[in-house]
Amino acid sequence: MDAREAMNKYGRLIYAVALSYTKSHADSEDILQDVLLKYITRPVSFSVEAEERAWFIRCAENESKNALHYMKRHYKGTLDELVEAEVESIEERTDVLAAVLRLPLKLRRVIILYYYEGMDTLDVAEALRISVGSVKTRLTRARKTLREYLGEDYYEEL
Amino acid sequence: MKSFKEDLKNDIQQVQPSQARLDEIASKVERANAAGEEKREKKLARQKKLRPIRRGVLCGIASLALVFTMFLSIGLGAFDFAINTDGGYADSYLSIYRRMKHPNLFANKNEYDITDGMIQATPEGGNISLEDKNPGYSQTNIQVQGVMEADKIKTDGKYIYALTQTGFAIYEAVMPGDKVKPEAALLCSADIKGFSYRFPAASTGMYIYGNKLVVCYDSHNVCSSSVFDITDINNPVLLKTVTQDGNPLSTRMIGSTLYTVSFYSVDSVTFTGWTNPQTYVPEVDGDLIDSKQVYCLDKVTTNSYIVVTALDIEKDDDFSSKLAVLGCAGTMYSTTEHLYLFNSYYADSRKTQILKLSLADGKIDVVKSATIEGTTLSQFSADEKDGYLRVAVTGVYSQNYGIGNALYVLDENLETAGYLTGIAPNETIKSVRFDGDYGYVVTFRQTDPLFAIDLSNPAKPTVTSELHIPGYSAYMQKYSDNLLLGIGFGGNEQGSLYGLKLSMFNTEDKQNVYESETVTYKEFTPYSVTADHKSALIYPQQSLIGIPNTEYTGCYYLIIRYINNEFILEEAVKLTNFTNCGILGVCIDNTVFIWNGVEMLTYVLADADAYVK
Repeated sequence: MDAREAMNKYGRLIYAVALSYTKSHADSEDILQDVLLKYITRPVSFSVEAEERAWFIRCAENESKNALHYMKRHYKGTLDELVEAEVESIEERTDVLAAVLRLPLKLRRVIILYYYEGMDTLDVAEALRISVGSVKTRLTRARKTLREYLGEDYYEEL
Repeated sequence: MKSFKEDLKNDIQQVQPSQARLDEIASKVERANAAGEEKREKKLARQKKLRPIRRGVLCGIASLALVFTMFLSIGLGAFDFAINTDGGYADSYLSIYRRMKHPNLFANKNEYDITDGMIQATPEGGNISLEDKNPGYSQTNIQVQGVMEADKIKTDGKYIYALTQTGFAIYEAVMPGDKVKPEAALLCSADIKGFSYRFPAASTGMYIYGNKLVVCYDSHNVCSSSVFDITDINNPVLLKTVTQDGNPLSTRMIGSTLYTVSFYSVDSVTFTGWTNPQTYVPEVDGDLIDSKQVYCLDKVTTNSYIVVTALDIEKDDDFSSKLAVLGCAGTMYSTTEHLYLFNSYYADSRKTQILKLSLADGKIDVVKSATIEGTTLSQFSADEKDGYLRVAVTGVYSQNYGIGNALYVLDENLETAGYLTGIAPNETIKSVRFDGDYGYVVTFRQTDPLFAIDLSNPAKPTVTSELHIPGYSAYMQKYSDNLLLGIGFGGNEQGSLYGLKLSMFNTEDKQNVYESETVTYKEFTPYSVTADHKSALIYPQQSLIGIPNTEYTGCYYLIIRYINNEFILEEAVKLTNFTNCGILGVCIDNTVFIWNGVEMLTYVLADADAYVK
């Protein structure tokens, strides 16, 4: 799989994961680029496709963590202040995404994979290396909070 | 009922990059990979060749290092070597961007972000070296012969050029003869758009070269230089204004070439991807600096640039050379051939990064870079002679003396040729001056020791004389061949400081430097001189020392004479109105012209012979 194929297959997923971490469009694009570069410079072979997807998710998460770590060290103000401006600019255009981004990190990484990527609970659990039970509790808690943000009876899934 | 899933997808689709953008990123990654492939193959081949002997070599290096550290800890105590931090020019904007955005990939783990611990730039302190022995008027105090420095007031013996709050003014010195008082006649005053007066920053100032007048100033974080034609003295014509990004650090003029150094710091919050180089690459005259002209130092991570440009003011064309270096700079020292930039920062210990640039034929190029222990004080902390750079620094740790001061002698490649540590432990350097083979260093804690250091043998600098007196000289100038003038604070043996102190040191016998005359004026202070050395007017032809004093006690211009080995306060000229331009003076014949930003006052010096009698 070359860079272009990988981009078509996983580009949007990597972007979404990075966005859920950094809440920043520019940083997410950078992370997307870094993940792809990592993939093609150090090729890894996978037996199952789910494994491959999990690799991309983990890689994107790790790159995002690095980016956040870097920001924490190098920005004088608090990280929240910085991100707040970005979230507000996203909020102007989108309400559901903004609500998701306002969730705690633990919950939003599950929501993105479950709803956006359409993975089932088992796949999510494997990709994030947590138990299926945790995934389910987190989903329930996330739904409860989202209902508060977005209003009752608005979405049938919640 | 809407679907949450669908809405979330739509929302992310709105934010996420378009298909075209995704393709662009993919092809970028492919290109980067192709470039990396070659390097990796070469590295692999090399590794294969080396594998059998590598273990042996590693063992060798490890044992050598062990012996070396033991030697260091026993013998020297401090890490006295200049560490090489050379680098290379960037190949693309992407590499610059990545370097700024992901410093961890490029920095040595032991090095630090030099922007973080950057120690504030100090104003330039000064020595005198007159260009022409006896031109009949006072000239700008410059450090190195042939390298002009900007000043806020200049004279050519006939006209006086002074910066005002909005531009500059030209006066004619009218000398009517013995009986009538001389006066300064205003010929013209010109406004410069965007001019902002910064006093006493060393960066604001002007140059006179032939029939050209150059004003260098800071216009809202853009470093600007305006060139005027003053062939018609009553009517200066603006020829051009050139700009470069960043805060001005300092300028120099060698021949007709103006070198401008500015410090451009990238706001990391505005990083919006590497495709917008405008956000992280400085501009010179409206054009982005090419990535091939950006020099990146190894082991150095920072979000700022030093921008250096050369402009021949006699020619109509653009910059003859421009260059940006990823790094910081606080002080600058220039000879006719080399330009040294010093950046003092604090990371675990005090360190100074030295960057050496060559200026041959108006072309600027990076020669070498190195990091030394300790921090420099001002442009006068450094001096170049016969290819050796001598630097006096504070804050060097050595096992025998604790924190103290040191003097390094570095060769052309900025490698340690010799050093002297343990100068006045637990004290700080207050002023430095080099004179040929000798260096004079003033340190201070309770009393002012003046050290004379023999540097004739670069490998072995030695202290030849040490003098302890109360107070300290905040800055020193060579007054005549064997006399060294110190201007600073008076004090007592207990270390408390007060007043303005002038000292004349006799340096004829290097084994025994002594204070031949001193005077302390308790009602005045030397602050204006410590802030900007060029505000002191030192003119040995008329035995004149002019010092502005803008304290709460009143605003005075002190006319001090040094006659017959004695300081005489001839007059404290009281000034009623003054602006943020400060108070400056020049001397033509026996008349001192005092500029307060609004008007030019005159003062006629008393006849020196009268004092002798």
